[in-house]
Amino acid sequence: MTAISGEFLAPSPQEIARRLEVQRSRGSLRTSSTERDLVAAAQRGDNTAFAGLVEMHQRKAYAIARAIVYVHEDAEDAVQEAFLRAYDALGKFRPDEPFGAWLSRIVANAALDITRRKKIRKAEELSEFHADRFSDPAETEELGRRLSLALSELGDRARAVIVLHDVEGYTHVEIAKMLGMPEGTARSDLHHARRQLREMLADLKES
Amino acid sequence: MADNELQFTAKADERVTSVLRARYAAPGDDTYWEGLQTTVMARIAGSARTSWLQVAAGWARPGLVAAAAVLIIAAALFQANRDEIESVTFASVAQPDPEFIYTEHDAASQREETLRLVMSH
Repeated sequence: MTAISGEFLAPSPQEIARRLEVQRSRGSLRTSSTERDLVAAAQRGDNTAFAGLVEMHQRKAYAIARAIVYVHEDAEDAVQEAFLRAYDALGKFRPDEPFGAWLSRIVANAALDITRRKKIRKAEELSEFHADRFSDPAETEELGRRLSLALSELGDRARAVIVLHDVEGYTHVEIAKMLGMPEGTARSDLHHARRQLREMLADLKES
Repeated sequence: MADNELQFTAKADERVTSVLRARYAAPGDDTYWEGLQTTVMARIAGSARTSWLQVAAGWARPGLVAAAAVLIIAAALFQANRDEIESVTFASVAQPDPEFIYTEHDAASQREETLRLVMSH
């Protein structure tokens, strides 16, 4: 099966933007179709249906990617890469599976690939992380700086686990599936990450 | 090792969690998500175009080899044909058929020539 039945007649980015705008003006795809319908249509080569799946899952995909990478831009890249991979692998997806869970694993892998490629270990590079444009303006500069350093000390896996659990609200089971680890490991990583963060920021909290 | 470590019961710190939530918050603007969706779909379309080019690129090498072979054969045939034409032209110039050569003779010699031809038959 191919997901790209009309691949040789691919529209230009401008045409894609126009079509999506028309689709939005008619009402969101995700409210008019079920996920299963969209997946089935996308597997038949309907790119508009795949656009509906992107619309349906991009926020969750971003949240997963953002938990794993350091900066917003990398999360965005991971999301794009993940949807490309999902599109290419759509033929292998079994419609009886939940699409969201399948996509989550792809997103996590794409984000982990980016962190492996772009290891940020230097403290000065973390200033970029601190200057994230989506950070809360109420966050104090000192707490932000210290938190950046503390998170970098945690390691990629532990950082992803604490953010996915405490920020995004995923369960240990879900996190374990996403990151490809045993549930017990996710649980222990969370425990150690919380304790480590608490210790690193202890003096700051007391002030 | 304390018991709570064995049971992995470290509680989340409220202040740290709230700062983490602020830091990791996804963009709230719908325009951002529409833009991201458009970018994703554009990249998918781009990769489809790339795959078409890759298909074409895959045929480029055998195509070039075939074109080169055709050119070599055509050149060889042309060369052989040209040699043949040149040799015929040269032969026609170098060894002219006497029957077709016009020579200027006076009237007496023409008569003798005619008589000789008649006598020979």
